[in-house]
Amino acid sequence: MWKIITVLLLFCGVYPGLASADNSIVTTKLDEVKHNLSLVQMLRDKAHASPEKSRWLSAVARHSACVTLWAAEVIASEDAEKTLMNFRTGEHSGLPQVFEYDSLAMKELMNASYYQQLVDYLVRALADWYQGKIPYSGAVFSQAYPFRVFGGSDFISGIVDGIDMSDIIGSITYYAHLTTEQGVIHIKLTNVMSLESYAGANYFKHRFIDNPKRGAFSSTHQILLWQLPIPEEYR
Amino acid sequence: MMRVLVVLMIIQVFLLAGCQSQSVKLPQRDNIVSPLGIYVTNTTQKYWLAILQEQKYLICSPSNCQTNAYQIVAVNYGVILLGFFSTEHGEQLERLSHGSLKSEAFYQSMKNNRMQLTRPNDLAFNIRDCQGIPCAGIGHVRNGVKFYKVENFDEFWVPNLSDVPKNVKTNGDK
Repeated sequence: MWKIITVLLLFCGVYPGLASADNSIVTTKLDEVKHNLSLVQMLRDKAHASPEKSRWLSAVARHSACVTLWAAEVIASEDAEKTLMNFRTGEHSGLPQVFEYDSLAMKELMNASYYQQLVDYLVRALADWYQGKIPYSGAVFSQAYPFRVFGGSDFISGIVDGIDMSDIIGSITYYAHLTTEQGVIHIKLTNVMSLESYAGANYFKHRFIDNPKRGAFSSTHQILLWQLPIPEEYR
Repeated sequence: MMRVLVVLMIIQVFLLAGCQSQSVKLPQRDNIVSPLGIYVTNTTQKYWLAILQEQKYLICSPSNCQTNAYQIVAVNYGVILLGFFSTEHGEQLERLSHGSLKSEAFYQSMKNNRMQLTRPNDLAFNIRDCQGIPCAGIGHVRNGVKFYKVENFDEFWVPNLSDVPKNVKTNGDK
């Protein structure tokens, strides 16, 4: 989602400045804070401080998204087209959309190398949680560390065969949830499609974009359900 | 002609970079020695969680606490909090974990989806290292709820402990 506007902004020389400014602030603050308690307080404050939104960048993102998403819908797969259109027009219920394991959308998603790596990472983390042996049933696990962000190379390798679900979901926004039942690992991924995600917020860790509360480009949620047998090595 | 070849080569390099399998290492957690202790949330509403010895935990708001059992897992950086989402505070934290105010229908839809999974009310409290502080997150990675471990609870915040059993240790895992 974020790549096209990222390229545009890179050409404008906007992002390098923003990205480096953001990093330097974080580094400086971390150097200053030594005591655990004050660092917790800082993290709390940071989480709830009103982020500095840029009206100008939000407007650029909206205009860019108008064009690029509309163009992408033309060549996108059916599920991807519908998901993009709901986001672009804002004509959705505001409720999460569930994509079941056996849906075409999930098959599209899991065909992509990035999501295969993500699943591999999650299964290994689940096995680690149970010290190498995943319980046949009744395991429950929540991802702690976010997986790497969906990057430019992931996008480029993904669009070779057209635009499908794997190209529009990008980095997964929620911590993944895993359970096991009868030798099968169930994975629940929850994603938010938002204007800030489109503008590279996951990749550049910025908070400059104001997500519309309603109407066009208001955020949509996707719940992505996947399952696979417990690999032999973890049984 | 030369330019076309160069462009094709660049595209090929990008494609190879994208297609190559990358092994992603699991993070190191050496500095997390025990899940026992007091955790405070990053929410504006003051919630805190105490993971106690003898496999009990407390989930508290400023006005009251609820207690339940937890399950030990094989590793030293987490536990499974049994019945977490069936407590009043757990349900409220689940709402906050989505990051911003949503409709009641949205919360119910998310909850219904959770209830379809096995062990729907149990929370895997999987602790990571947040800039040197043990922490655990629920929901949205950037805007959801995070629990941060505190060394000295009293310094951080003096709660109303009238509902907390008197034998509860609140000085972390020391």
